[in-house]
Amino acid sequence: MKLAAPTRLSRADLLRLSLVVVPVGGLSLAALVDALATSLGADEVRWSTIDLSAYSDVVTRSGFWESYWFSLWIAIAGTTIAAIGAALLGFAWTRRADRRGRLTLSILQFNLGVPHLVWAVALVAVLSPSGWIARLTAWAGLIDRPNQFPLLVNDRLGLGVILHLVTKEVPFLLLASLPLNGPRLRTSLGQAATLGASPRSQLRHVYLPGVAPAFVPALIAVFAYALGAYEPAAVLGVQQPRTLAVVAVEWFRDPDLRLRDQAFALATILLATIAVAGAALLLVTRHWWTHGSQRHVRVAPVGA
Amino acid sequence: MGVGPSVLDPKDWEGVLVAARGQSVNWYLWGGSESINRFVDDTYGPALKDRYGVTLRRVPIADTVDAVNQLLAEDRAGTADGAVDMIWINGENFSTLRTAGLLYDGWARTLPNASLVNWDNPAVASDFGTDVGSMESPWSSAQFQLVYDTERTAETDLPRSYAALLDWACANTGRFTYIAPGPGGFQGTRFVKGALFELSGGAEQWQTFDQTLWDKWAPRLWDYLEQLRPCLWRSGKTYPKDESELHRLFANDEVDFTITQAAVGAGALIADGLVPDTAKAFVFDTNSIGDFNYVAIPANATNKAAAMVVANLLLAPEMQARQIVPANGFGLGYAIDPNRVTDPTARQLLTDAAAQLGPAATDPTDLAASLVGDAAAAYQDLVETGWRQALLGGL
Repeated sequence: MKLAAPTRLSRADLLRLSLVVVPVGGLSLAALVDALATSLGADEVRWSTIDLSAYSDVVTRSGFWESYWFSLWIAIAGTTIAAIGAALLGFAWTRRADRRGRLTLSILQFNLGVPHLVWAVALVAVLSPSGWIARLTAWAGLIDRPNQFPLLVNDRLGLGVILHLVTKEVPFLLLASLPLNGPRLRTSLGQAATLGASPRSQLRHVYLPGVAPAFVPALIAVFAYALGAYEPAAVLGVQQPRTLAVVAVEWFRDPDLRLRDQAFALATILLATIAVAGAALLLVTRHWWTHGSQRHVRVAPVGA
Repeated sequence: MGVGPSVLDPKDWEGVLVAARGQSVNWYLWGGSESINRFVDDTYGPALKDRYGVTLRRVPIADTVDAVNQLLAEDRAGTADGAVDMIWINGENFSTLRTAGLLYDGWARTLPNASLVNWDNPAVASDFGTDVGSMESPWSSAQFQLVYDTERTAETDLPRSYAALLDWACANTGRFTYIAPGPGGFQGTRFVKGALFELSGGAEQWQTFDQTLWDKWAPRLWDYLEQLRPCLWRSGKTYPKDESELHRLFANDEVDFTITQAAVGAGALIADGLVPDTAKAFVFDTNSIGDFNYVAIPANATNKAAAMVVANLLLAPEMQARQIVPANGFGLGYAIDPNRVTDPTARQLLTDAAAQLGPAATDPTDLAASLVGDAAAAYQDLVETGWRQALLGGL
């Protein structure tokens, strides 16, 4: 059974790739240097006046840790649910691959083109206590008044933001992992089934290792977005606690210029969190990258 | 024309008119509203050209602070004939330019139409607590108002003070909220300042900054808002972050009041379909914070005479009448006091315009009776960060 054979990049490939990587990477790097410099109170030319006061001011502010854990909760919950949803749906559709499955997939991917802000506003319109669903259930007599509808947006647990992430990121994860790997995986899953592997075994030992090279980096991107994005939390979140991304943007825009250093310190803290989480995710999934899974596939029929 | 700035005497209006003829005015103003841009171009432009031979060049800027920076840069470079002839300005930006000594003085109160302005009104004579002197001429006004739905709430049941609002809110739990003060929540800051004025017994003491006064009253203010909190929408656990969110809650029947600052009251919101047709604006009996928008002329302006002609035209009753008509797209209130207009034709124009405000506007008499000036600029940040710490206790 042959899975994702590593391909070597030719010199021409590298050249083409650099056309994209150099400008995008360069700009990101410049932004990173600027953020670091501002948060450290240094000017970009001489790094002699580095001080960490912006960081210590931020971390010791009342409410910082509450906001930090709240941001992390939303990012971890949103990413985890999206990952499980995308893995199960992708697995089911790869096995079936009939017309209905493809149709559902295209319908689901329809929302990829919808901007996050628009999607967030749409969720408010649909799910708020005066939203469409609340009115429909009140009209149907299930609740007495629309405002008895459970709080799903602008709630203290961040359920609205998590729901936003899940509904937007499941299609993204499917798009990132399936189109290239789908046909080959379907063959592999068929072979595994013929050998008597249970669905659970097929998922664990064939599907997940098969999509991992695309799925795991996409997952890191989803986590980074979940932790760093402004729009979903600004529209669907509450005033207290606010996510760090929302606070960072508002401090950055504040007429009081002293808050800018602290806004960049917040951004840098978020970036460091993303780096740690990304490394952890790569570590946890490392066996998928080292072909260890192929051995399991062979024993699967026995163990299943 | 050969009439240099040193010769120009604002008191000699005929001389100003002669000097202005043939000049162009570079008017720097915030260009973020298409309807205001159109109003400026279509209303003032032709009148200036036809009557005074003055060409109006509107220079749209993203933020008034851009014009301030331009003047500061010109000052450093020692430019005598500056590019900016007039700025739409108020608050902090005015205070910055005034402190730097970069504004032309001694003209605003001598304009022929300045006699129509009530300079005794502290809200006119001081801009965010800074004395406007004769350096700023008012253009229009905005005033804090609440909006209710006549279908839902009877006029006789409306609260007319912050004390009555507390009773109303707790008798109608969950039906009131206000915008979280802070960036983007300017109206929420105004709402909280109004409460501060009522608790402390008046707005005037807040016109100049006094830390001990703030330290004395701030705890009482947070106390009041804490009492109000459990009666608010969602028990005050969260607040709408801006005007549009509050409009939505109001339109969706989650709360019974929203906020506006326009002279046309709820009219513009109704026209945009943001609130029900039966919405109407009202004010408390007092402490409704209003402020004025002004124009100022830089000290190094090249075309001062023409700029004065523009500032004077803005105050003409005919133009003031046009700016409050909802259909003209400006919607802000008068800068002049209509009672000072004696010319019968001009009076008629103002009366006609006021009649077009529509049923959604606050009664102009109520507005005038309730009007107070804003607190000194330094309180803005104290209210916003203090509110977040006291009421939310977080970042």
